[in-house]
Parts: sequence; C-alpha cells; structure tokens
Amino acid sequence: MAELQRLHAEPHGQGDRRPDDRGDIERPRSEASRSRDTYILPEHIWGKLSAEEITKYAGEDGVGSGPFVLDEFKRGQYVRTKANPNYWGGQRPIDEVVFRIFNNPDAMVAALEKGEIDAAHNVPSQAFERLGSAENIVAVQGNQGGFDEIAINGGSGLKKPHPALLDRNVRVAIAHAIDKQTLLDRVYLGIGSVAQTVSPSPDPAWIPEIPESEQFAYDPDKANQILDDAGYEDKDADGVREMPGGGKPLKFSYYVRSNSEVAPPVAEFVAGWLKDIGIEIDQKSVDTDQLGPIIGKGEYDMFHWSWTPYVDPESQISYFQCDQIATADDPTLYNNDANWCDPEYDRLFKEQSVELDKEKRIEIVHRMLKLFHDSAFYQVFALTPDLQAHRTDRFEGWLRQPAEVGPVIFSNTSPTYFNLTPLASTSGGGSGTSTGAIVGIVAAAIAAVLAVVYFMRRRRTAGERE
Amino acid sequence: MSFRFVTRKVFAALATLVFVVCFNFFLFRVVESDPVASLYRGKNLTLEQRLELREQFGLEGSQATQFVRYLQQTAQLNFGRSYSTNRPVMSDIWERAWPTIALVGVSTLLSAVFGVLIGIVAAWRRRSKADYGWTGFTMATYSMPDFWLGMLLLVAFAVTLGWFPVGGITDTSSDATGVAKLFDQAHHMFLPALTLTLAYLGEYALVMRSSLIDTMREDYLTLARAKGLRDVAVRNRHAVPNALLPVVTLIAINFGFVLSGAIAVEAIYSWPGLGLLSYEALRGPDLPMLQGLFLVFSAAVIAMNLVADLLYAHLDPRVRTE
Repeated sequence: MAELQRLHAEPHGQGDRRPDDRGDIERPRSEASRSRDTYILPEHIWGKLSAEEITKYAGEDGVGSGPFVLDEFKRGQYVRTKANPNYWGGQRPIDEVVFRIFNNPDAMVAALEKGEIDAAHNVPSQAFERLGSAENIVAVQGNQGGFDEIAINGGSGLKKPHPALLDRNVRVAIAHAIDKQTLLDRVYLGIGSVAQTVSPSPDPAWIPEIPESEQFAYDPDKANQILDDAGYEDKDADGVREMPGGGKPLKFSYYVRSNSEVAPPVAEFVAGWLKDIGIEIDQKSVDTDQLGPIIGKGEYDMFHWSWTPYVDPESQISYFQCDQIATADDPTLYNNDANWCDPEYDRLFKEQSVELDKEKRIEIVHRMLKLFHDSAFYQVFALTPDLQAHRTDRFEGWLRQPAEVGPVIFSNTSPTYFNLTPLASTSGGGSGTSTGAIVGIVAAAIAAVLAVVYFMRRRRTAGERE
Repeated sequence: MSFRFVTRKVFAALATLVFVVCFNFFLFRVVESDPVASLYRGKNLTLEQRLELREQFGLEGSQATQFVRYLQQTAQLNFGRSYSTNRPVMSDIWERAWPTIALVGVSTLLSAVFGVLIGIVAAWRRRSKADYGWTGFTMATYSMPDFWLGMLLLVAFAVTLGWFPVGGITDTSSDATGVAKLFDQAHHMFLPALTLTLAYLGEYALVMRSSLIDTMREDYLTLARAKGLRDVAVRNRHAVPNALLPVVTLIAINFGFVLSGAIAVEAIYSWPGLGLLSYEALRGPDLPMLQGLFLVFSAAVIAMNLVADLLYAHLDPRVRTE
C-alpha cells in the first residue's frame, strides 16, 4: 500500500473530472497484482474522517460507483441494494437486488423451491443434486479456484513438529496413504475434483500439471514400503511405528475445525488410512478462530483447512514465503500456515512479481507450486466449488464468472446482477400474503368464535347439569 | 410486605449481579482465540496494523489490566465493540432485542395462558378422557426437541402447504408500512411462535394440573360446595386462585428467560433475535458480544427472579412472615 499512496488524481482544467493516474512506485510490480483490491474512495466522504473515525465508519450511506448501491441494511436479516442512477455503464431493468440471510440452509433451499428467492449461494451438498433436477431450477457448481488441503508443520515457525514429519519420506508416505477420490466421493458427495497442488487463481492456467509419476497417488502398500525402507518400524507391535532406532512413536496431533461441515469426517478417514500404515493421529477439535494462534505458535503437526484465491495468483502464492511465518517479534502473523520456508520459492516469487509477460509468469508460478508440492508439506486433495442454484422462470442472463465454469453470483465482479432481465411472464413484487394463510386465519377466527359461544352456553346450563 | 424484606431481596439480587459481572470476564477468556487473525486472514496486514487492531479490540495488556478496563466500561454500560461487526455491542444487542422480545414474549404468554387453561381442565376432570387427552398432548409436545418440532412445522406449513414464509421477519420485496407491515411481521412470526408455544405448553399445563389437584383436596372447597356454590364458582373463585401461586412464580421466572431467546428456533426460522446473535457470537468467538449478552441475560433473569420473589410474597402472606 505504501507504493500506491503516491498515486494521485488531478483534474484536467476546470470541470474536467478525469483523473491523472500517473504515479511513482518504489519497485516494479506486475500490472494485474497492482490493480487488485484497490478501491477509489470519494474524498468528500473519507476526507472528513480522522484516522480513528475511519476504523469505525460503517459505510452504510450508499456511496459507491457500481451498478447498485446500498439502500437498506438490516443486520442479520437482509441487505437491499438499488440501481445506481449515476452508473457509468448505463441502466438495466433490475431496480434492486436483495440479499436475504438464512441461518437454516434447508429453509434457504425451500425458499428457492417455493420461489421466495431467485438464487441461492452455499447450497448444502445434500440438496444440490435434488435441486439440479427440480423444475425451473438450475444447480451450478461454481469453480473459483477454492481448494482443501491437509497441512503439515514445516518446522520453520516458533515450534517444530514431531521430528518424523521433518523427514520427507514420512510426508510422502502420508500423501500416498490418503485416498483423495474417496474423500471427494464420500465427504464432498462427489462435488468438486481431485487436486494435486495449490490453486492460486480461478483461472486453471495457473495450476501446474504434475506428471503422473510424481503425483502422490493413493497407494498404501507404497506408503508402507517407504516407511519400512526409511527405518520406521513397529518394534513393540502396538500398531504404531517408532522413529528409526526406536524411540518416539509416530503419533501426530491433527487439528479439526469443529465448525466445518467437512473437517470432522475428513479427519475420520485420514485417521483410518494413517492407522493402516502405522501412524496414529491425535484429533484435537477446535473452533476455526482458535486454530490461528495454534498455527502461529507452531503447536501443531497437521490440520485440514481451505483457501479461496483471488483472481491474480500473487496473493495466494505470497502467503507461503518465509517472511509470512510467525516470529517471536510478530507472533500474530500466520499467513504461511504450513510454517514452510524455501529460499528458492521466495526468489521465484520476486521473479514472477516483476514479470509482465503472462506466459513467462505462469511458468515461474508453476515452478513455485511444483516446489511446494514436492515438499509434501501441503497436501492439497480437492478443488471445491461454490454450490449455487437459481430459478429460470423469472430472469434470464445469469452469467458465470469465470466464464463457463464459475459461479453465477458472489464471483469476483458478479456481472450477473447487471446482466439480468426479467422474463416476459414475470410479475413484480414478492410472495405477499398467501391465500392459504388468509383462509387459515379466517378459519381459526371462526373456530375461536364458535368455541366461545359453546362455552358460554355450557356455563349457562351448568346449574341444570349439577 | 415489610421494607426490610424487600431490601433484603434487592441486596441479594445486586450481590448476585456483581458476582455475575466478575465471573463473566473470566468465563469467556478460558477460550483462547485471536479475532484479528481470524477476521483478517490473508489480508497482508503489517505488524503495526495488526498491533493497532489488537489494541482496538482491547486485547493488549495483562489479564488484570483488561479486567480493570472491563469493570470501568461495564459500569458505564459500555461493553466494547463487537469483533465481527466492529459496532458497539449494546447497539447490536438493542437492535436484535425487539424481535426476540416479540417472539419469545408472545410465545411465553400464549403457552402460559393456554397451559394454565389446559391444566385446569385436566385437573378438574381428572381421570376423564379430557384429562388423558390433554395431558398426553402436552407431554408429547413438551418432550419434543423444539428444533425438531420447528422443522416439522416449517416443512408442513411453509414448504408443503405454502401458507407461511420459510423464514425471516419481513417480506423483503414488500413496501408495506404501518398495519400492513405489522400484519406481515405477524405472518412471519406465526410458525416460530407456534413452535415455542407448543414446546413449552406442557410446562405450565403439568404444573397447573398438579397444583390444582393438590388444592382440590382442601377442606375449604368442601365447605364452599356445602354452601351451595356451583362447581364452576368453586373452581374459579376458590381453587384456581390458590393453585395459581406456583404457576405465577414460574411465569415470572420464565419471563426472565425471554431475552435469552430461543437459539434453535431462531436459527431454523432465520429470526434475527438475540438467540441467533448468541449463536453467531459463539461461533467467533466474539468475546465482547458474548460478555454483553451473558450480562444482559443474567440481569434479566436476576431481575425477574426478584419480581417473582416479591410477587409470591405479596400473594402468599405466609412467605413474608417466615
């Protein structure tokens, strides 16, 4: 950000608001990475705020330059946006987009099926297939490069892992013991695809092709052989191997994020597979928030987590540099959650950062990710898409981003909202109060009146009955 | 009711509140977490930025320093800023309190009223078909997990029949105001309120039934009948008022729990109340929010317990002279 602060905007003459985007930066950066996540801020709003006020500024006044601006925000309920009359791209038929918040995923799916909402994001995997075959509904697997991995402590942080994990043989054996396809089929219900390396971008061009001979394919026999050859034997016949020459058993701590739907079942599968090759894992269940400090202190051997990258790969690959590991001076820095440090990786990162030719940059990034893959500290096993669904009987113009493979909403720039047009048969407005509800309420009211009349008559004749 | 009696009860309530305030601080610090790391994961902050954020969130300093700061702020009803919304905790709580008070308050009232009526009918006609029927029904609904009951009602009336919306508090596509908006919100509230009413109906029905059966054995009821009073009059003027005592205190105590909401039901119906806010805060964990919520809930329960104590003493003179 220090580089970008030196950019400035100057009007060309009176009344001309075209900015002069010339500026100076300290070192060259590839254009795409420089432009990511850089927002133009209106000075008449932000210029009035002090440094402390900026951190408390809620930003709910609807100032924006996109096709829609914030209109109403009910925390925990919905966000209503309305068409921006000043949008440079012109106007479209959609007047507003409302984002409703559901805390019950099944209710969200029901709302989509009923027609209360037009699209749903984060559809539960159990409902995804059913929605795909529902009338007037399309289910979308939106690939944005998101991936899941099992990370092993690389030992370059504040604390080293079990010494066996610093031996590449053990890490490779672990990789061969994990059946990625089974994880995908049984835990992710077959939604997604098996992966070999970190995915640094929704654009698959940035993902290197790992030759089949170098992939860590599921092969428990090979895993056992590797460990045997490396001298890890189970001398006391308790089912768990020990360090070469006897000593510390191969028991590793494995952190499971308790608030993840997939982490606990993945842990169960991994525990079983590693047991088959004489490795025991001690599962420790923690909340996602608690895992960060544990990683920072290096007090882990393994864990399962996931990432979703930005469009430009620089962000994702930047996290695995040596200076992204927590230190005694900065114990809260844990972007590099593998605690892995390779000077060659860092050198290549700097090289790609100034490479403006895309093909050459891709080649450098491929080399970086191959280095990381070969170290076996980060065992990526699946590309996990966003699960969405939308109705087809109200609007047309649902755009996927990236084209053909990405999600239709909550993508990088979400062009769908600006592209949608209502179908001719669509009527405005929402569900309103259903006829059934009115009938039910009227029926209940009539029943209540009849009950009151009945009890009053009974009370009048109570004396005779006694 | 003597001034001394009231003063004793009020002081006891205040002492309990002070204990809760102190306990509140240490309770949530058992869980170690780093909200800055979680909120800003992958954001490439500098060390200075991270330290500044930690200071903003009140994470700097020793536990003793944080405790003193917490006491000072609590005395000013300042519970800090939420880790997830970065807004004052009290603002978030205030915003979400009204949906909870509406939903749980109405449900508590309805379950109390209908539960008491059912209990009266079941007790007065005990061992009849009406008794068995009503007792069986209320026990069945009382033993059902409320989230399961909620899902059943949601699937039946919202999804299958389509009579009610599947969630939320209002129709986001409607521009209704005034009475129309109230009707819309009532429409949205119907199923969650029905769920909670059915779930807690049994509590009042069974207590009322048991209390009334005990009262029905009293000699003064026999005297009342001997005086020629009709059965209905014996029940309504003599038996029920005396049998209501334990139920009144139960209602008062349960109203203390109104604010804590109904986490499961609010989650199922996406009802934006304090129960859901608690669930969201627990997931963080959003320490300032949890502290603020815990304190508010505890204060409400302590206050309503005090009301129940004083009410019981007012209704039953035997209590205040003990």
